[in-house]
Amino acid sequence: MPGRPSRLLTFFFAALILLFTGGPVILSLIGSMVPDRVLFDDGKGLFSEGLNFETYRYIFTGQLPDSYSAENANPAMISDAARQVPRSLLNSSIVALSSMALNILFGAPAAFAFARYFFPGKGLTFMFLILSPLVPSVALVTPVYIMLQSLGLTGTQAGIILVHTAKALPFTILILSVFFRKMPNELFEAAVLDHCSRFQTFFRIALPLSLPSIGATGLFAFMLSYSEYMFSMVLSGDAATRPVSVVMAALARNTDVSWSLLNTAIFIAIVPTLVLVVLVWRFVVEGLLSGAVKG
Amino acid sequence: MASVELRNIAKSFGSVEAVRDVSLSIGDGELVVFLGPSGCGKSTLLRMVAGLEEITSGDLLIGGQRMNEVAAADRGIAMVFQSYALYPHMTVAENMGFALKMLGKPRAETERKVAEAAAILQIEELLGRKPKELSGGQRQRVAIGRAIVREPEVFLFDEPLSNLDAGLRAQMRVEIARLHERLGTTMIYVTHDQVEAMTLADRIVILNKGRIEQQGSPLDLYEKPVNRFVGGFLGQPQMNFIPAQLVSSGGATELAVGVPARRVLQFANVVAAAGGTIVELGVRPDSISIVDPMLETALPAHVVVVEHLGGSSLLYVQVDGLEELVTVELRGKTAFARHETVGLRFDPQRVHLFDGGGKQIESRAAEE
Repeated sequence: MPGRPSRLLTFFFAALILLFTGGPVILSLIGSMVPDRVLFDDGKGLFSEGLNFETYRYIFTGQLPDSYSAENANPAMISDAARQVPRSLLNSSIVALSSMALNILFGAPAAFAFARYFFPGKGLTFMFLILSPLVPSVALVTPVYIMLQSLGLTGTQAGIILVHTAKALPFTILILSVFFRKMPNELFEAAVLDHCSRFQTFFRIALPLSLPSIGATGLFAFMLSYSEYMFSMVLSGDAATRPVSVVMAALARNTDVSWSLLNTAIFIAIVPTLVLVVLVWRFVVEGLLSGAVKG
Repeated sequence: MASVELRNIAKSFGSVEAVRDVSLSIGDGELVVFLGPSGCGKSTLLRMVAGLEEITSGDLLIGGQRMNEVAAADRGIAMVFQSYALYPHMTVAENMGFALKMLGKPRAETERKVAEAAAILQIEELLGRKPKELSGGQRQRVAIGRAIVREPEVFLFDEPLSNLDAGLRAQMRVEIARLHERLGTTMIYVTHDQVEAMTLADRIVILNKGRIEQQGSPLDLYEKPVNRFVGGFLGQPQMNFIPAQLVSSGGATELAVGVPARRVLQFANVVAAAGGTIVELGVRPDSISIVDPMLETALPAHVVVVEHLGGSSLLYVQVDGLEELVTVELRGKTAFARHETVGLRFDPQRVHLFDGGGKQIESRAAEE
């Protein structure tokens, strides 16, 4: 049977990739529900004491897991930082959704202009856009901090949103401009003949046809912002503005942390992205597929 | 309705000259076809009329008004694109009414005009559908409908049928002809398909390398091509081009073809140079008849391939001394078979002589 071995190979590599992508998610889910004393004891089977949600309870309500209320337990392993997770999730969602919205708001029209029109300085500005992600973030931390400080935006969410938007915008514009460039020229010429101004051409023709791509790039901007650590750490102030990536780092830095608690925090941090991907991805894939069939 | 006038129109893309010094006037209500091979500048010319391409030099007048600087939407034209360019996210009715909507026309008026256009094209039942739910022919109708709704002074068609299969193309060709008759609007139609050009056009403009080679009624161009390019471009099967020599013989000039040379034609008004003049004989396949090869004015040839087309037959024959096969079109079925030797006789009233530069030499057959 021709094609059989290659199919097996496909499954093998798919499984391998899944191991590296899905594996950690599953591990953190299991780790979050198994008590520390089981995790740390090589002699016990993973599920020998069953699963519980006590660490989840602690994160959301502050009530210590039962095992840590027992004698000889070290409650110091239950880091206070874990209690910041729900708030940081909200912060991160606000920041990431804002960054996503701003990326679409500025990125889509900019990409359209780059894709379809000529204007003075087009080549130069586009080169800047392409090259700017090549500058290491570390090199930008100090100048960006000074800039935001002079604007009075350090320690605020607005500051982080601004930086995250700026960091994702080159990708948004690049991806969307490729998409807009692929749209048939005649469609836009027809729009010109139908009395559309440039803005109307964008708004009434290009935008409705590129919703799947815009969804995908928006998701990309969301995830970039959600997982960004360096600027979030430098620019965020107290717990009220701290995004989830900063809180996670604080948790993981503690060597005596409860593993179960850490896993719980990790899994909670993954959930918003998972939900968004599941919600948006279907829409994106459907859109891309219907576009692939020649219209 | 309006006339269209092009005065010394030229277009360059950087150093490439796509259209050079084209002057043309198109009468009110006329259907003019721009015909030529790909890259001849015909689409560029149309797009300049539409306002989608800037005019490098020269003047464009529509209805007597200079239009060079007028925006495409305000030129009173409507264009049907090769790819139809229907908006995929709108229904047929929305597609057709979009221009009026953008002009801020009342909805009732838009709907009435869309309904009228749909009735003309018999696509009423499609109005609620999206373009992807339509067949190629239906999309083409919608694209034409969109143009009709705008009530333009001039219709522009850019290879509108080239994405359709052969049967549908013939059907749509007839519909466009009927539409022109019904609306009486000036139409400019670009195609590389000579059958479309021959059947649709009031006048054909043949373009090559950005220049007009010849313009005129379809039959005029077919019967009196001014050069080798036009002769070869129009007509299916293609005109034969046979290398030949003009030689003086007594009072007349004779045309010698093949090795050994046979003097197959006599001309009354053509002068040959002292040592003979090298020319090309252009003769359409249907202007050649098969005669006895032993005749003195016949050109002997061997049959290489026979094609039976039902209503007619094509013989591809090899003439000694010629590189290319000569095509002969015969009516009805033919009894000739491969390897058979036949004699070719050229209809003296329907041959063309072209000089070394491809220009037509005025020739008149001598009385026999």
